[in-house]
Amino acid sequence: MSARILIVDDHAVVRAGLAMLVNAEEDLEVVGEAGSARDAIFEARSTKPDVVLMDVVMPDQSGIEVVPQLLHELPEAKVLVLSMQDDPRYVREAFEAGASGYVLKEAADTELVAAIKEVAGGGRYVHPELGARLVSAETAERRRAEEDPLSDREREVLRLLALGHTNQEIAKELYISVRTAETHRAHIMQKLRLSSRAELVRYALDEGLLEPS
Amino acid sequence: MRRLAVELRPSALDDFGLVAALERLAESFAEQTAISVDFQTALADERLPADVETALYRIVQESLTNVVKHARARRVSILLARKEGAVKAVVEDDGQGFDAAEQTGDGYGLVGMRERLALLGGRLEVESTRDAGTTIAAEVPVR
Repeated sequence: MSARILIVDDHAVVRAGLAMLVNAEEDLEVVGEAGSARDAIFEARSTKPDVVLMDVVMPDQSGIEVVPQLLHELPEAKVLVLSMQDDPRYVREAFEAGASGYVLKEAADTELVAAIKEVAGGGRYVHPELGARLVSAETAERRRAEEDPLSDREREVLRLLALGHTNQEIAKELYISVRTAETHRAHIMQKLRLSSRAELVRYALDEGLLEPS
Repeated sequence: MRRLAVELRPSALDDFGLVAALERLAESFAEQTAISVDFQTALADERLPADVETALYRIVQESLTNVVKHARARRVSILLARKEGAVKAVVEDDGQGFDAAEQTGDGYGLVGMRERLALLGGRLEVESTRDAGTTIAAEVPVR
């Protein structure tokens, strides 16, 4: 049985080209096309594809943004994102949204068929060089996180705590709820393994957070 | 009247200033109560107006007394912070706290603290949650 493919791209010429590539394979079959994110949902409902080839930049909505809804309606379907963006951040965004694969448009002629077959079979696909870049970006990020475990917002809360602000004052200053301020504080203490206000102050002093910016 | 004034102002304040006086206060508190006290400040040796020093010292002292009497805390932080136009003393414990809605303030001397601060144009903030400790923050304007 051949895998059923839905092609989503706002350019008709691209859709035609992709359809040709896909239909040339014996075990792949194009069952529908859509020119927008919104149409993609409708088409997916009626054609029940195994794999959705999803363009990213479309006039109504990003193809990546629509992935969660699509998978919610068709949990069995796989999404293969087709993008011109070779930035690892987009790759990660796509996978976080639930996509199974990420193919660069410029490499579609050589990689597309293999990628479709890979995700149709339950695997994942990402262009090898992009995958390598993704890994190194994540490694760099993890190293940064280890060196400075706090988010920008947490650093700001820490600074205010060290200046003697109460939770209420922090909430007011940062336009957040008191509960949120308390949560930030709890996370800071946990991440830095500190257990008192005085220890927070010492940490902030050591980090130079209290110097006038 | 003169004797009263002397009693209201501990000699350590005159001799060493607020930071040193609070350090001594924290030390003796820790020795007497076995509650761990940590005093932190970014203030150097800056001398503040005498009435400000006295008020903040007394409020810290009173807050520590509250910690012993009510908090069942294991540790207390004292923080003295300087910011633009103001000095702030914060006493924070990790004790049982109290329900701020139920607490009118009398039993904890909060009314007295508020009055003391009001005379200097300052204000008191109290944050306390059951089982999540208490924070007393006293802020006084200082040029």
